[in-house]
Amino acid sequence: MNPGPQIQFYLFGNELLPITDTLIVGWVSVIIILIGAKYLTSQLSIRPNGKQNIAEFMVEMIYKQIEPMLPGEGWRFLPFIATIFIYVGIGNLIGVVPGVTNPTGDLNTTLGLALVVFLVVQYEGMREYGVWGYIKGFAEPVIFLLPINIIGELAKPISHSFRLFGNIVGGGIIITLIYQAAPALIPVPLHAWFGVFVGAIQALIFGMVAIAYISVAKS
Amino acid sequence: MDKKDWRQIMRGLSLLTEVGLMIVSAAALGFGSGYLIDNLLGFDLLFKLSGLMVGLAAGFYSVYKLLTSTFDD
Repeated sequence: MNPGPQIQFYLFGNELLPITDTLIVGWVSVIIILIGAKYLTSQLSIRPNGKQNIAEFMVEMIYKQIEPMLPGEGWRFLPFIATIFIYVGIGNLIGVVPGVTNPTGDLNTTLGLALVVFLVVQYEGMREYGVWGYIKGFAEPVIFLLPINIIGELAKPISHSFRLFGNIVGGGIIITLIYQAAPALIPVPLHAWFGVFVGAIQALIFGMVAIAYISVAKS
Repeated sequence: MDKKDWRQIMRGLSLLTEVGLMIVSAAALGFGSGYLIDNLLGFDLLFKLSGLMVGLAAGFYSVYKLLTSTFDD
């Protein structure tokens, strides 16, 4: 059993740009999100109908998570945080479909997302305090905190990406082992637990931690 | 339990796993940096150990900043 991403084909020649199953499922997730967003936001009206209610509920739910931690800036960060939350959510939940690999079960995906969050965090810190002010902040209140702050900052994308990756891969390995040991007994509720519940919680956690990092950079 | 309590629980839950992992990854990063410097300068353990100490301190300090920033309301 190899839980890692499997190379399906190479985009250029025999060695360049390998396309893995997780990457393909990641693209499929993006297409699903685009179609869903187009469907839910078509024919918007002042008095919302059924599908518009769902879209508004999702937007409001994510906004209410952002606003208490970044007061007055909930709407500004909503597109970014909602994109992360929805992509990670779909990426986690799509693994429930038999034979489909979670894109978030690939460290390349989670590290990519964590690096995007890292860049946004740095940008927001510099936007708040100015480029020099933000860099100078690493050596405050005393200069010996400089290496501590730099290592602490660089450790953020590592812990952010490894937690999501570890949870999704760990869940997948446990399900595979249970399927082999007792195929008729436990899998359905366990698959629902790891696929749906843990997937949704992990998406929420990934988004919440991104908000927390931005909040730290701005405080 | 009102909605504010739920939000606090969700925030606590999101940081629960992040806290432990952040200390470990900062310590690993510090140790890794020390390993590279030791190899470069030909030392045996000096920078590995100091890197590990700095990494652990960095992990705890990052966690402290994260928690104070998240729960200051």
